[in-house]
Amino acid sequence: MNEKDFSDKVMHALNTGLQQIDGSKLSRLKKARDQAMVAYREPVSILGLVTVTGPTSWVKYNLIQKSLIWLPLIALIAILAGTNVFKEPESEIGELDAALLTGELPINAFLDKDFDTWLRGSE
Amino acid sequence: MAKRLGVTVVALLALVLSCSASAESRTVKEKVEPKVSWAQLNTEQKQILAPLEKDWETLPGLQQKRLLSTAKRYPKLHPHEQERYQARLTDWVALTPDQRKAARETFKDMSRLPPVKQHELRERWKEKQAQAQPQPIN
Repeated sequence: MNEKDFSDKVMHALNTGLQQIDGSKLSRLKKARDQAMVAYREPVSILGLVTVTGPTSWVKYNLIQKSLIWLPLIALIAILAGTNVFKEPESEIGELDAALLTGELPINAFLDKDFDTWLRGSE
Repeated sequence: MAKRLGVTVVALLALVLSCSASAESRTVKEKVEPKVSWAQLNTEQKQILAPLEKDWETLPGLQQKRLLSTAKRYPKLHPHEQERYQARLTDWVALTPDQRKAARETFKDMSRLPPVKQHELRERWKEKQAQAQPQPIN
């Protein structure tokens, strides 16, 4: 049985059943359909971000909207990156300063552009 | 669904704002690090930081704190390192905070290299310094 044959049989069965429905049930079904049609609204898109649809004003979030939810998290990471969270602690700075003040190379070596270029080349 | 998303967004925003406020307070704390007067230093600290006696009062509290931290390591240094330490102190405090930060970063990057590479860099620096010296006239 192909798809068309199957759908024809279903349609036929429904039509036969429809003819057998008594008047009161038919009237109730019609009333329910009319109410549903009155409540139905075409989906409304707001700025392409949010789509309001359906009788109960469901809000559907599209891809952009969903991605916007991540914005606070991205902002949080950016803020943390710019603050002490990712900065070296004072004890480490103390060690580095002591090493710079006592190391074999003078401090100006670590501020020299050539030295920096050699260093990048060695990495 | 919408309600749940709203709650998530509000919660994350609250978290961001609290962290932002906390970060700000840390920055402020750095700025208002209390200064230590020269007179408050003990005899050993005064001896170690002697090259800075004249400029000590003008240094920001945070810098004083960091210098005192380095001074704690001084007694354990070899004599030649102690000499370097005191000889470099005045140049070190004369740098801007950005310069000191850059020097620390470069030093850290160099420290991550294998010892052979570090040695090569030191040798290369010495060569550069030797070339910069005026050549003797024959």
